[in-house]
Order: sequence, then C-alpha cells, then structure tokens
Amino acid sequence: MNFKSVERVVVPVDLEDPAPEALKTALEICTDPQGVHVVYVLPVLPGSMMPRIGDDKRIENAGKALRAWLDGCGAPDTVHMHMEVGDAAQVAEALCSAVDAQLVVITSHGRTGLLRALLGSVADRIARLAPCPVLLLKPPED
Amino acid sequence: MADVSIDEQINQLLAPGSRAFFEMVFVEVPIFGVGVPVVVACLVGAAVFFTLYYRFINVMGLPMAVRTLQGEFSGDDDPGEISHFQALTTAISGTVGIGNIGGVAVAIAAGGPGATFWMIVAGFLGMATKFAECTLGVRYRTVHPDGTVSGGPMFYLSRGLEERGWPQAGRALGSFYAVGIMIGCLGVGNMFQANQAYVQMRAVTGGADSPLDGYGWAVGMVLAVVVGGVILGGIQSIAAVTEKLVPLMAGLYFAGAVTVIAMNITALPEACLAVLEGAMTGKAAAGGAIGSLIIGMQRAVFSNEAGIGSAAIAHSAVRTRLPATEGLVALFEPFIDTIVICTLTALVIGVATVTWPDFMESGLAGVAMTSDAFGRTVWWFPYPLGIAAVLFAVSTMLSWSYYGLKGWSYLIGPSARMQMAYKLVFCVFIVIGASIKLDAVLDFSDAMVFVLCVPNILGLLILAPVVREELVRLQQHATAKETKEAS
Repeated sequence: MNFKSVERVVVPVDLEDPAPEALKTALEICTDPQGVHVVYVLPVLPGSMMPRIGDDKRIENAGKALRAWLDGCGAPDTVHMHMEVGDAAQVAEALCSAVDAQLVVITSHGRTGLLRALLGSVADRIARLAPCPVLLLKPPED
Repeated sequence: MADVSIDEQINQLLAPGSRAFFEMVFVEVPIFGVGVPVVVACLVGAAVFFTLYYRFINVMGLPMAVRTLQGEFSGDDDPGEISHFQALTTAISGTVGIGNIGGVAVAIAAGGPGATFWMIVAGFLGMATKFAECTLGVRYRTVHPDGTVSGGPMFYLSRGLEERGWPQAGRALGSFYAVGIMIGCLGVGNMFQANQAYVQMRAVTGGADSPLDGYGWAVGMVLAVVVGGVILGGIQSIAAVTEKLVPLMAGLYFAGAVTVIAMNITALPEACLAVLEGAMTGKAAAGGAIGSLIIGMQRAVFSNEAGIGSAAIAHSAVRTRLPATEGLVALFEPFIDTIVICTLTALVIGVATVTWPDFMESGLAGVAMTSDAFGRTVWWFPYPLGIAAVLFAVSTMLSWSYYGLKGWSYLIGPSARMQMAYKLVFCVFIVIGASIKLDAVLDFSDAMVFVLCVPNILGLLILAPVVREELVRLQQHATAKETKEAS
C-alpha cells in the first residue's frame, strides 16, 4: 500500500500501559491529524454484588484520561477520541468499518511464554478481525 | 457402586485429599499438652499485637468511624467508586452469611459453649486486624483510567513491600495471595455456602425423608445457574435483588433469633453461664479450655474474615483520599458479624440446649442445628431461615466470586476469555460443594482460608507503621477541620 496517501488511521491504545509509538507513527503516516482515530476500549465488568460506577461515568472518566495522555504526547486537538465498553478487537473492527479506515497502527504488549499461550494477544486478535491492513509495532524496550 | 448416590461418589473421591490438605495447613505444636495449630496461634497473636499497637483502635476508633460514615471526611470528587456506607454494606453482605448461622453451631458442637466466648474475643481482636487491612487496601489501590478501582492484599503486599525495599518479596507474596484467593474462594466463598444452603433446604423439606435427599448435586446445579446468571451472563438484576434482600434477611434473622431467646428467656442465664464456664474450663470441648479457644477463634475468622484480607478488596473501592477512614469504617464489620450476630446464634443454641436436654444429641450439625433450635421454638421458623440461608449463600458466593476474579485479573490481566474460564470453574465447584459432606467441605475451606492468612498477616505486620502513619494523618486532618470550623 502507498503510505503517502493514508488519510484515515485507527490507533487502539491501552491507557493502563500506554506506549506513544503507535500514536506517533500514525501521526507521521496520516496526511491529516484529523484522520487519526484513537480508540480506548474499556473491559466489560463482571456481574457482582459490588455497587459500582456506571459505564457512562467510566467512559466520561476514560475520556478525560485519554485527553490528558494525548496532550502529554503532544497530539493535536483535532485527533479523534473514541471510548467504548466491550471487546477490544470487536470494537476496533467496528470503528474501522465506521470511519472507513485505511490502516490500523498498534503496539504489541510483547508477552511471551505461558502468558501469551494462555491469553493470546489483543494485538493479534485486532489484526485478525480488522477489515484493513494493520501495522504492528514492537513494544518499546525497557 | 450401583446403590451409591452421585453425592456419595463425589464425596468419596474428594474427601481424602481435602483431609490431607487440612492436616498439612494446621500443623500443631503442643501447648500445655494440647495441640495448637501454629497458624491459628500466629493469627491470634497478630490480632493482639494490632490491638495494642493501634492503641485499642477497636474501641477508641469508633466515634471517628461514625463521623466517617456520616461523610465528614470524604467528598463526592474523591477518587473511588462507592461511599463509605456502601462499602460497609457490601462487605457485610459478603461476611454475614452461613458462617453466622451454621459456623457458630459447628463451633459449639466441637468446642462446647465456651467456644462462643472465644468467638466474641476473636471478633473484638479481629477489629484491629480489619482496620489495618482495609487502611492498606485503600492506600495501595490502583485507580484505573475509567475511575474503577482494584485493591486488596495483592496490591498492598507488592507495593508496600517494594516501598520498604523488598520488591521481589512483595511480588512473590502478592502473587501467592492472588493464587490463594482464587483457590480459597472455592472453599469458604463457594463450597461451604452451597453445602449449607443444600443442608438447610433438605432439613426444611423433611430431612432424611426429603425428596431432596441425595440430590445435593441437583440443588447445586440450580444454585450454579443462579450465580452463573450473574457472573457469566452479567444478569446484574439478580445481584441487585440479592443485594436488597440480604439486609432484609439479616434483619429477619436478627428478629427471629431475638424471638427464640425471648421465648426461652428463663434458660438464658444458664446458657450465658455455660458460655463463661465453658470458656474457662473447656467443659464439653475437645482439648479442654485451649481446645475451646482454638475452635472459637478459628470459626470467628471463618465468619468475619479478619486476617484473610478478602474484605479489603471490597473496601478499597471507597471514595476517599484518606485511607484510614475506611479502616475505621471496617471496624464495624467484625463487630456486627461476630460480636452481634454470631453471639445471637450462640445464645439461640445455648437456650435450646438448656430447654431441651436432648438437643445436642440430635446428631445435627451446622445450619441444621440452628434451624432445629428455631423449629423447636416456633415450628415454621425454619422455613424463612431456609430462604435466608439460601440468600446468604448466594450473596456470599457472588461476593467471593468477585474476590477470586480480582486475584485472577491481578495475575493475568483483564482477559475476557480467561475470566470466563475462571467463572465456569467457580460454578462447577458450587455443584461439588452441595454434593459432598460438611466435614470434607469444612476441611478444605478452613485450610484455604488459613493459607491466605499467612502472606496477609506477614504483610500487615511489616506495614503496621504505614497504617499508623495514615491514622495520624487522618487525626491531623480532623483536628485541622475542627479548628477551621471553630474559627
């Protein structure tokens, strides 16, 4: 594909373990920062006896955290933010279709061994489900 | 094998392993000729230390705990998910359960009436332990970007010990605890509850002649479907209904127990005397006074969870910037659970023993014994008690499934697929718990609970100065607030 003409990029991020590489790469590749869609997917909470804050409030809080992180990374205000509760791969797939994304840029967690065998990788699943090409970045070294 | 029921087959398969595990955990040392389990001695010793080190916070902290519950020290903008009051009611829903009805009967059957006295003492001392673990739960919790909170012993062990310069030991203990709570919740928070719920349902439907006799697995499956509906299907409405019914049931149980005692009031002085006499002499207890003490303390921990660290997981979700506030609120938990409710159950059994001399020879155990005391006073009392027992069991199982899941998430992150696997295992154990005999369930549950105490108590001792620091910070905050209001 021609990286010089990419106009719409989806960047899934994990704010629990944020790595700015994927965002920076997306901003470099995309012809216009307005075409960068950053998505933060919140896990579905298990049913329990615990009273808890609702999903609306969680999304509001996540929005504030994502904004602060984007500002910290020096991202322009025009970058689109998406916060949703659900399965990361399915949400990313739906967003790609909705914005007609040409590319997904994501950083792998770099899990190895037993944990990877047990859990697989969110990045792998996003890559499998995404309706467009995926650029998978290696995790930053410590 | 053809005439052996499914329940019996499951029991025969699992009981030997359960017993071996119990004997491994409760290694005994002889004190005055009586074998004292090391782990129980450490737990009691630590609770005495905390009571002294925090300068009788069990009593002295209560006025400030009331002010905290009234919302004096925390605001709506503080980090966290729930109010102090919600955190307390949630934690009480998790602790007030079958242990208060069936566990007390187990204690008295094995430790004589004197075990009641030691349960109350353990409840009092446990308040200081609970104060420490809930303060640390808030201090070292993680507030996620969406505002939800994760906390509990896994977090304070790993981070607290890292602060003290032992990061590897902290990580090891935190992970050990997380594994322990994952497995432990299958005992006290699952099989014991399912087992006792079935026992009570069988008792109220005719005992040995009950159509449910030998069908523990079927009752277990129904319970598993209900619990699974919430934790697997996310049917939050079941949890919401249970959450509202549990305080109502606790109130009804309280009223029922008071009625039974009132209707046998003439037997009360003798019942109280038996408790005091039993505590000092060990009358009717295996192992005399020390045997009575051990059993009382053991059952108290099982009921109010002080020292296990589990309640800190629920308490850490509170909205506050001052960790010690939640420690103070948590003081009420062993107080309500053990000093109030367990004592009531003990008195119900006590007056029944005095009024009906054949009561203790009935061969009943656990919740069935308490139910018998209720039934001899008012014939229909066992029926609402049966409903309460099932509801308590469901609410406790739901609370503990959450604790187990937090341990699971701590170890491997919030993977939806792996969480699903854990929830399925949890539901399978409900069926097993309802199928096997009480002894086997108790052995496993007791042993697991006390395994959890080991890393938790160790962490609480190492981090005791941090708790005191937080208490001083709260006291300074309160003083500054009062000065500001006065001027």
